[in-house]
Amino acid sequence: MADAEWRTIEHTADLGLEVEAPSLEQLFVVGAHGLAGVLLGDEAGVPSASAGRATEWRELVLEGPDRQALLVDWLRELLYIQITEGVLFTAAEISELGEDRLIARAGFAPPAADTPVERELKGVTYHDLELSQRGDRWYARIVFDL
Amino acid sequence: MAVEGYRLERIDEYRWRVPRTGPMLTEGLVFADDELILHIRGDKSLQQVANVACLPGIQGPSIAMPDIHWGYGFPIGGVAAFDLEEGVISPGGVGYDINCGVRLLRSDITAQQLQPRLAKLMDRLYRNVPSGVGASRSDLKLSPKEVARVLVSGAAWAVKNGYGWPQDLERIEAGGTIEGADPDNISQRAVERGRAQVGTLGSGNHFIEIGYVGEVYDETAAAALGLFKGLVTAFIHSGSRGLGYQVCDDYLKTMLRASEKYGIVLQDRQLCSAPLQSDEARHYLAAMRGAANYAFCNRQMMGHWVRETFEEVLGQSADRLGLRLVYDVAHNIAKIETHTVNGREKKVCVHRKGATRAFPPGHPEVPEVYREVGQPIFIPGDMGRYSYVLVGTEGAYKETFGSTCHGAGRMMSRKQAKRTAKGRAIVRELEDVGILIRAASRATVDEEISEAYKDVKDVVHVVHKAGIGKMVAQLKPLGVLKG
Repeated sequence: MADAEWRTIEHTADLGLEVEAPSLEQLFVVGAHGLAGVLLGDEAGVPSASAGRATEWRELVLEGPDRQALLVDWLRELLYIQITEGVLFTAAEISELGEDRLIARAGFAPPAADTPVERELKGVTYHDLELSQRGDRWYARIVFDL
Repeated sequence: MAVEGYRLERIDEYRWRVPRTGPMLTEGLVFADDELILHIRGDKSLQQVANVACLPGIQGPSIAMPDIHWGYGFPIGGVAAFDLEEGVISPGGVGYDINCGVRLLRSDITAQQLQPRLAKLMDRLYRNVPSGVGASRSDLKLSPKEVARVLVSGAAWAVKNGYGWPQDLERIEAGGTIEGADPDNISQRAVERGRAQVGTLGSGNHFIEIGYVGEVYDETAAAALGLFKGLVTAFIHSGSRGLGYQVCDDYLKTMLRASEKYGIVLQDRQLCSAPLQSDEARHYLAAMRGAANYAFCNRQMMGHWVRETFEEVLGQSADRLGLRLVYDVAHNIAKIETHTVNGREKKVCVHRKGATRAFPPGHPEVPEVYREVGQPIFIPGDMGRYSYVLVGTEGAYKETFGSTCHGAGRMMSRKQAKRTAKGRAIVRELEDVGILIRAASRATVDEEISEAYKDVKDVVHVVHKAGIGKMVAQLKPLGVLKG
């Protein structure tokens, strides 16, 4: 894997996402890029430094029982914004990521005309969810309902 | 942690047992033949059957239908019933698409009569029923108050507002209105998502299929259902759209907290649940019933537009074309029903996730018009082959809490299906065998290729032979509208 990247994984009925990053904060950001990529029908991505030209920004404050649940909540929130407002996640600055609280500034932009949203995700599930530290890197696995 | 070391042993030609082990409170019961069990063993669905068997208050076995496949939390094709005092309810046991289900209309016109107008019919259907990713109606956006009325009244709201016929209602599970829905338990987010999506198909495996009766296996039952060889039919497969997904999402969060609060040990967090006697469960039930009613209304409205499209293309009234509703049945739902458990009649909460209710002849919830033959069941196959109509049986009532299979069951992941479809013109391939496809997205068509699914014939054969459903007719596709 590159420094930080995401890729889809096979699941019979649904679709999984694997994310790897050098820090927990980056893991959340790359996971969000993964969600946007999945919506566009992509299968893998290495978010570059240039990723993130947002046309609008949102302050998000999320609370949950633990970090795993926070990761799911974070992606659910971004998915909800995409569904209801038609804008895709492009960048984020995470200012707090504790055991039970996430505070972030997330950037969004409409998808480019030549790359429309191709998938409808019904939800971000807790199934087979993993969030762990592997050596000096962070790893997550998330399953979406398609 | 998931159940470890579960085994599978044969009971008879069509039944397999997952014996109790570790934290399992009951055994698993899987319906499959030698061929299908190979597919089932190939993914994690048996693990999920075992995980469900660990939930408190489960009654009878954790059941898996022959179309079972790996889902999230509960397997898709799973049935589990829970005691009302000791048991739980789990949004993961219903799924995101609450009351995803199938409606079938029949007609008096033959496939041959329709053939010259088929392409036009498909084009108009594509125009008249919004489909595809995030499909919404530009011409119909309900106020939040009106959405609340849909949540309470279901298909009856649609009929009251001119979408369909009053007599449709008696041919819908629960009459198209499940009692006990409470909009106060549905979030503003969910209502917002529901405002412009009522009457939309969506994407993925949702479809409208124009077909015809290819084979009849049970003349009496088929006649009672109004199905005769060669006559045109219309299938509608959709659910509660974004409103239902949001309800599920909202309550998964609630149930995760509830599981901890009530000390429910989860083998998979997606199985998060609350005791049926808790406020969390009551609120979820009231919200889920609302979403289920929204889905009944959604299919009722699409049924109306299907009728209108036939009228527009064939120049005759739907009434004259005999476009009557056969039935409308849910396959993602939790319901409080009366069943016999250990020789005693009792009320239980039956979760059907990717499983269809299959009530027998004589059951009071079967519409009077079908009381002698049993409740109609629809088992759609993939878009290139065939689908089946069955009726419910006493066997299903006794053995599976009145449930049977719901479809072919996926065999390939969507990624794998796309790889298989790469370089092929799937729409053209189907057109060459006489099936017209209209789709909002090529990606969906590729992901939904026939090869991605088990042969529904094999699935239906198992439920028929096992006595948990009775084959009535086979339907063949002429045209499919995909999201």
